Amino acid sequence: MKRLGLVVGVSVIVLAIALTGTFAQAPKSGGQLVHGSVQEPDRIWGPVTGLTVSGEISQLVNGQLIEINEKLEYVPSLAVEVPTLANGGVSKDGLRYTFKLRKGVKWHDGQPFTAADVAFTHSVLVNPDVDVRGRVGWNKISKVETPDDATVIFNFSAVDAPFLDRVATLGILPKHILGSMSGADIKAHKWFRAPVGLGPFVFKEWVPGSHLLLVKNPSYWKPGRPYLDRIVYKIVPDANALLNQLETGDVDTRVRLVNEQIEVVQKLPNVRLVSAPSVTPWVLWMNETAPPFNDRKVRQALAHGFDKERLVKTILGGHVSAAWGLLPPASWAYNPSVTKHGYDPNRAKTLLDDAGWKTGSGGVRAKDGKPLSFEIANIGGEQERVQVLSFIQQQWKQVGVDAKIRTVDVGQMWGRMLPQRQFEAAYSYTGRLPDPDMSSHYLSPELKPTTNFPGYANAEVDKLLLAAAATVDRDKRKAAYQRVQQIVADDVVHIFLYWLNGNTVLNKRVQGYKPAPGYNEFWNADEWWVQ
Amino acid sequence: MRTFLARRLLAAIPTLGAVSIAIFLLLHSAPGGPMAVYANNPNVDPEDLKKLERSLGLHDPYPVQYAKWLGSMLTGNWGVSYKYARPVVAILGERIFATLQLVVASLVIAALIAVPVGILGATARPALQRLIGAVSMLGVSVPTFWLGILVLLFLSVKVRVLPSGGMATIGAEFSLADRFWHLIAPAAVLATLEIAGWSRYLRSMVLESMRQDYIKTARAKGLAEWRVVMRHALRNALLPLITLLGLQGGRLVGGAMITETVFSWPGMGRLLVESLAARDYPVLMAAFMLMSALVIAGNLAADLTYGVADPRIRLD
Repeated sequence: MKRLGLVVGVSVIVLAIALTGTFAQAPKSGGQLVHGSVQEPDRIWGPVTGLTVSGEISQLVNGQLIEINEKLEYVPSLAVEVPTLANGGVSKDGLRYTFKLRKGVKWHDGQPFTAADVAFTHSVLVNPDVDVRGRVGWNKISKVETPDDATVIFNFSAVDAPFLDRVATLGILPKHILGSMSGADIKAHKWFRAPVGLGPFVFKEWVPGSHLLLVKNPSYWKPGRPYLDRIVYKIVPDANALLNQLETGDVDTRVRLVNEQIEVVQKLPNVRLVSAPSVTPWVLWMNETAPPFNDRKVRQALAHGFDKERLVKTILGGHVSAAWGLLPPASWAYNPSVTKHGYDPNRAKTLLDDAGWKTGSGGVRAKDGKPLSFEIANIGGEQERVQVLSFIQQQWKQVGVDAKIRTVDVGQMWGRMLPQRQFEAAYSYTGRLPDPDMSSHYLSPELKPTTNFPGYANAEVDKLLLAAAATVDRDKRKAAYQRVQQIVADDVVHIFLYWLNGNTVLNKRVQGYKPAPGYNEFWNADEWWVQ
Repeated sequence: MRTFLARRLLAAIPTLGAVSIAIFLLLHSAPGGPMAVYANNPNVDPEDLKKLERSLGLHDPYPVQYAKWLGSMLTGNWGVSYKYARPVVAILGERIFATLQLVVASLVIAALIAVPVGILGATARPALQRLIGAVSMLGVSVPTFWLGILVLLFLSVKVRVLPSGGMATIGAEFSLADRFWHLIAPAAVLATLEIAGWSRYLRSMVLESMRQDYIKTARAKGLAEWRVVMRHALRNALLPLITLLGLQGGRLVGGAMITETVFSWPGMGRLLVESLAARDYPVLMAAFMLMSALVIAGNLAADLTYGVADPRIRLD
């Protein structure tokens, strides 16, 4: 009897140990996460802010109808399913989107979430008295219907192909708090600094200059989520000081780590680094309305004139991947077989000779008495940008091109040089949505594209882009975009360099993080947990 | 004394006026504007940005913009921040207190250390004098951000004696000890430049005083040497330091930018840098005017104190 008892006892203990073993990796509820950021948010709603960090807080506190996951797919959030052509949520002509909303969802103050909130959010977006920065696409909506509390229908006057991207990045505003105000009052309302939202975390406090405190939403619509009790969003403006705090464990997470610190972080024992490419490429812009860049041969020569692969491997330490076009390989419209103008200095020299730029004194080419010399404007502050440009500058010198690097600040670059086309060449990254629509970059200037800084104009490209933006049929759009990618690659409208990497540092006790290429890194923060 | 005061206050008005015009022109002549940061955003229509700029009055001619700003400042409305859409007064108020704490603490530390070091530098043995001279030379040359990072690295990361930044432990109850613990490192780092500079200055002033005739008299009276130095030489040597302190007035608001960044101190310096990058004109104009006013007030206070401290000076 005693022996049987012993056997049973030991088996129970062994079983218990085995079971806890399998449960060891299951998410645990509770705990606090401290996130460190070098920038402080300003207003916590995407359309009225230019800061990514504001978007991050909005991601945690506000709710959206749909979201974009790590595979760049749409997934339902406050809407119970993503509207598509197949399920009838999107009409065949692309002019009517129907969203069925989740029932029983409550705002952080306990009020019920209804379709009226969604309709209200749209009305604020298009209200001329509110200083909304980004209403592109939303102003194509002619009518918003709310036949019942759980259904919203957007009717369009013209097709807005990337509409679902816009919905996936828009936080919903509470009609019961802001609904009775004029546009001017909404603009100054303290909701934008103390939001009441629908998201997994509730805004608790904001000590300016120091930190924001968010706590778990106990009635979040996803059962059992979020796992974390608190998130402290700490402001640490100096990147070195932030690195220190990651090392001591005072800070658990940091996103957008600067490339110079990657090697150091990889040696720290208590953190891990997750790198993933984004949909945002680094671009060398060229002003194509004036010499020397108005000649396609010159642009092609410049593309052949430097070794991109070596740049990525040496200067950038192999941490990033080379970019050859505006669309990333993960995009559903990506064309893998466009012409890649790889490193070929002899071809570069031949092209420049053909274009009339003959080698002159001092090794710099000249044509009609003018040297092949220009300035590349670069925003100061980051070593890596200068290193990249210096590398290219050196290699271009070998083929007779004299490029000078000129340091400017954000205001000069984005306030005057690029939008008013007062530049020769410039270096920056260019913001992109996951949707492959490239109209803002490639439409002819008279069609008012928002980011066609080079001034490129091609009638065939215009036709293709306009047709693709007017339909929601993915196959038709894909065919058009593949052709556009080929044309603009041949014309070397831009020289793309590499994909901006998202480098996220996480303390080893933080689990559940998944990188998001087209989005901000907090998209699945409700699934994060700490050991 | 009263006419002196009245004249100085009256003279301050055109000074502030000229400063405001100069700052206004400088700020607006930098290319780009508060909307520059949105140009890279594919969601943003440049037409919307232009409308926004017009509604903020940024397309008005400069004299009109300046007049509007001056009018609202004088009636107590310090404007609304472009970036935060909040009243400027609220934003400045939050940050000023933090910077004041930091700068005042650093001035106190600087005075407490610079005075004895300065005296020693003048009266100690030659070898010690040379050592002090060398160390203070180092102090003047060391850049604040480098020193700050070093302090953090050694005293906060390697040996966890000091906090890694901020004004207080996040989430903890208010405690003077906690605040003091957070204040000590940034205030000390900020004070190094002052200590080095002031001690060298004080040393030369003490040496100068020691050469005066009244020192001979004091020694002839049979006073102990330390009394001669402390009660006679030092008092006269300290006078110019009052002027130096008065000039620190402007720094009380904006002078600690680098230290604030390194130690994550939520003060005015950081606010100024961020507002400059964002071209947040209302915040910048208000902050710079505040700094100018404090410089003027500081100078005036120094002059008045000097007049009281030194009977040889008549203020009129």
